[in-house]
This record gives sequence, structure tokens and C-alpha cells, in this order.
Amino acid sequence: MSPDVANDDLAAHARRLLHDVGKYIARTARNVAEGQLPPDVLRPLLLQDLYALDGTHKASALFHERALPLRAVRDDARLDRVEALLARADAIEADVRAGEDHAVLEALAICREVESTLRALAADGGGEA
Amino acid sequence: MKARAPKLLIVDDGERYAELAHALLRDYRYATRCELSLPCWECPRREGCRLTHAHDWAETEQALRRHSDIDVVLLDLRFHIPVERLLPSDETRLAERQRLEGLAILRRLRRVRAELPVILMTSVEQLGPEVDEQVFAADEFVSLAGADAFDARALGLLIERTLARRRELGASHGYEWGESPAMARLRRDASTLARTSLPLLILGETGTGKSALAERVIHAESGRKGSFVAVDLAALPETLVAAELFGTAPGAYSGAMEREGRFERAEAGTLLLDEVGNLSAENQRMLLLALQDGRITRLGENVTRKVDVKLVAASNVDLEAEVRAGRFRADLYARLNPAARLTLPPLRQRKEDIESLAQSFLRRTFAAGPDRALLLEYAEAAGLDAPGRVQLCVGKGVEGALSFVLASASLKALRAHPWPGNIRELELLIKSAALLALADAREAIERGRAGKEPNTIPIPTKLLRELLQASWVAPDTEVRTPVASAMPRGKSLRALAQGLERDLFERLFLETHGDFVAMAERLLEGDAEENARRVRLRFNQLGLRVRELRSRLEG
Repeated sequence: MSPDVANDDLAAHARRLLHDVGKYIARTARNVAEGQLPPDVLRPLLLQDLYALDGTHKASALFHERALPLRAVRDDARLDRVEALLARADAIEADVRAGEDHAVLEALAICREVESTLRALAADGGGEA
Repeated sequence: MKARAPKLLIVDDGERYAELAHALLRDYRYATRCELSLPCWECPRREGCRLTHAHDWAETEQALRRHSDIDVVLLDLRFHIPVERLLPSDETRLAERQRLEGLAILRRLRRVRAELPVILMTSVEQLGPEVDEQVFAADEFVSLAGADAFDARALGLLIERTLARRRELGASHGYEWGESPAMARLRRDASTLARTSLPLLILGETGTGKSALAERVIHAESGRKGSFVAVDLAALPETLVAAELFGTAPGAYSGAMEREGRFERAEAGTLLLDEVGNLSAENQRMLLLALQDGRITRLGENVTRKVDVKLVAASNVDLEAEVRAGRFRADLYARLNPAARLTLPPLRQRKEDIESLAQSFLRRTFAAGPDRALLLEYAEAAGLDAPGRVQLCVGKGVEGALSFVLASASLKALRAHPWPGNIRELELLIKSAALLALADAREAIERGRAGKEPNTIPIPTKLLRELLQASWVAPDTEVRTPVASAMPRGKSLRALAQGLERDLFERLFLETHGDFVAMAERLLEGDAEENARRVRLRFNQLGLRVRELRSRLEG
């Protein structure tokens, strides 16, 4: 595989990761000001964003699957960071579902950071192969 | 009362945008595929429901058929749907077809509903470098919501901007107001009165747009949730009017079945009684009762039914004169709120609007249906992209749009025409001219004689003049009826006859473009050349002035 082809593949994988995970996970967080709690009407949407992103799978599982092709050609620290953020989201799932304010605020912050990190990765074309 | 909220159609393979819109953009109505009328967020069957929006082109078509009043389409780009639900494409790679299915849907939307504004919910990055940006350049309504994805506030602003742009184009619920001062005043009054509970009376000559005003403005701006129901009282046999308006109970007359009338069908909506001056005395009495207490009784039934309708009555005759003549009940006339009547001016009194009206009719002609299909066939034969919009121009075409071009002499001829058939006559004439010109242009391509600019289709002046000459005939009855009804009370028979004669001479002068020989041919037997002098003499005796009428002919 030539370097150009490899870079094209990387860019395509990074764009897909941004679309399938980054864009979707931030749906609710984008509509809530930082530090604010979401209105009741948005809370079910936040649960879907994090824990049923494609209807059934958690965002963490979907990210893991979609990131594999990228990881195969390049190990980027930003991928590790997103993985850690989503693992944290899974750890606080029970509190988020229970509507605990601190957990909901943390979940919103995680969503924003995942989106911005994956947007930066896509803008870089997925990193150099 | 609040104006009717704009209606959105979401086209997205997933549920995310619809969920977000239903959560945060509740000032809009949504074009669902569901029978229920309540908003999705109030629906007990909301969980897991997929009738909230369209997920592919087939469902989009279904929603378009069901909702003719969609204001904006929100369209996703990427559609992860099975290959059998994708639109046909030359692309063989499934992932690529899915990635750009939104563009294929956009092209289809332009084919069937070219006038619909579309907001494409994607980013330039998602489109990728291989997408021809000309696809968007041709459509002024497409906007890109990229970095603002899922930002409900940004999406709301895009929707409002799109709707405002549409309003700026001069269309109001599809009603073309034009720029004349008379119409500006009428527009303000109509919008105000539409929101009230008062009945409304619309007066105007045939073809001035009374029904369209009632449906597209009065009903649309009334905020009423029921249907718009129209009854043309001139088209119904007198014996059927009461059954049609008020409904029937079984056995009301031989063969009568239980049937609701137009009043009941218009419940919570608007009922237009067109040509109300045609009602018989008995039907006027029944209508008066319905207006007095807001109740109707089906024929053959004793029970009264409460109805809540906004009543709009329209007439092309002078109802005041009908009341004076004893043919229309004074108390019913008073109930129709004549003090606030809306009078649509004839087209000959608003000639400054002819160009904008013609523009609007041209766009409507090619927005959908078989005429749109003919335009697309021409575009394909000429090697053009499917046109997003068409433009009527004077002198030369404009860039970025398929232009139908009129010579300035043609515009003069349009302005000089007396338009006895009013807006309806203009609409038919413009449609005919554009379609015939399109057919000529298509034929020229097929014969290898295509012009250098396939984006410009000329409408020949000769064709337009032929259509103008053939577009109307003024039978005696058409001349007499409005003139007679407009005559002030107390005029002598001599004055009435002279008025009719003067009107006839004036019309003939305009119709023949001031040719007294042609007028003589139509008015008198014998040698037209000789008779022309007599006609000219009588013309002067009637107080008509050649110079004055010629200046009207020249616009």
C-alpha cells in the first residue's frame, strides 16, 4: 500500500469515526450550555447518545469497533483519550440513569470532549500513517 | 389568533434529528406519515414509532402526497439503508451510494417539488471533494448545517432564514400580491380580518383571485386547524344547494342518505361560499339562520348542530345592487360584514403587477407535474442539469437560472391588453406561451438547430400576440352584466344604454388595437371601410378619446 492510499484510508476512517460517534454523541450536549443541567425533555436523548448510540450499542462499544481500522495503522493518543472518556461514561451509567446532577453534568462534559477530540482527529486526516 | 406554524418534513434514515426537533423545535408542525393529528411529542404511541418522518425516498414521496403544505424539508446526506431502498445509481459501491443518497433524494425533490426549500443537514467535509458543488449553486435554498450539526438553535435559525427568504420572494402562502398600492392595502386588511371571528365578503370580477385569496390567505392566516372547504354556488342546481350546505338525514327526500354538509366538513376551518349572489330566496333564509346562531339543521332532521366555521362569501356581482333590486336579502347581506369587504381590483387596474404575476405563474407551471416533466426533458436534451428554478426575463436571460425571455414589445403588449378574464386569463396565457416556446426550443434541438444558449428560451412576440388575440372574446352578456349591475341607482334607461355602448366601443378599440375598420366589421354590416367613418363618429359622440386609449394600449 502506497503512503498516499494509506493516508486516504486514514482520513476516511477518521471522518467516519467523527460522523458515527463524535457527531452523534454530542447531540444533546450541544443543546445545553456548559455547566447547565439539561431540561427534562433532553434527558432521555442523553441516555441514548451514551448508552444506545446506534439503537442498541453503547457509545464505547461502537467507538471500539469503528476505531480498530485506525489503530491498525496508527496508534494515536487521542484514540486512547476517547476510549478512556467513554469508559468513564460507562462507569457512571447508573448515576446518569438515576438523574444524579453531578453524573449528568460529567456525562455532558464527556460528550463534548469526545466530539471535539474526534473532530480534531478528522481535521488532521486521522494522523500520518 | 396565532398564524399557522410552518410545517417541516424531516428526511433522515435515523431518528436522531426527529427526536431532537420534536424535543426543542415545537413551534413548528411536522409532516408525519401518521393519521393522527396531534403533535408527536403528545402522542401516547411515540415510543418506537417510525411514522414521525421519512426514512428514504419512497417514504418522502408518501409524505409529500399526504402534505401539500410543507414549508421546508430537512434532509440528511448519509442513508444507511439496504440497497433495495436506495435510489438507482451508476455508482456500484454500496457505501458510496449510501454516503451520498441525500443528494439523490435532493435531485428527486427538485423534480417533483422544485419550489420546496431544502436544508441539507450535513457538512462540507461530509460531502467530500468529489461532489460537484454546482449541485448546490443552482439551488438558492440549500444551506449547509455542518459544524452546527444537532444544534437545535442553529437549525431553527436556518429554518427561519429559509422561510424569510421565501417570504421575500413575494409569495405569501402561494398568493401573489404584486406591488400595486391597492393590493398592499388589501393585503394588510386581509391578514387582519383573517385572524378575527368575523365573516368576510370578497368582491371582484371573475378571475381576480377571490377563491385563492380565501384559501391561501384568509384560511392560511386564520390559525384555524380545520379544513378549507369551498362551494361554488353557481355550479350547483338550486334544488341541491341546501342538501350540499347543511347535509341530509335518511329519508329527507327520496333516496336521501345520512350525509354531512359542507358546513360540518368545514368545522373549525373555513367555508367559502363562492358566487353567493346566486342563492335562491329560500337558501338565503337558511344561510341567514346558520349565520345568526351558529347552528345548522340537516335536511329531514329536527336536531340542530353547532358549527364553528369562518365563513367567507365571494361574489362577482355588486351585492349591494342586488339588495336594492330585491334579489338578495338585506339582513343576510348585513350578516356578511359588508363594511369590511375586500374588493379585488381587476387586472387592468393593476398593470404594474403583470410582470411579477407572470413570473409567479411561470415558476408555478414548472414547479411540479407534467409541465415540470416537459422542462426536465428539454434540460436533458439540451445537456443541462435539472433546473432548480426558472425565471421570466425581459430582454435577456439571467445567469444561474433557466430563463424564458420576453421582448420588451411583448411586455408592452401584455400591459396594453384589457384582461377581461383577469389573473386567470394571464395565468393561462403565460403557461401557454412558456410551454409552446419550450416545445419550439426542444424541436430546434432535435433538428440540430439549437441556439448557443440552451439556458435561454425566447418567447416570440408573434406567439404572444397571437395568444393575446385568442385569449378572450367579449360576448354581449359579459359586457352587460357587470356594467348594468354597476350602474348607479336612478340612472335613466338612455344613460344606461349609452354607458353600455361606450363600454363596448372602448373594449372593441382595445381589442382591435385601435383599428376602426376592424371595429366596423364587428359592429356593422356592409363595407367596413365605409362604415369605419360612422364608427369613428359615434366613438367621438360617446366621449371616447383615441389618444387616451392609445396611451393605455402602449402601457
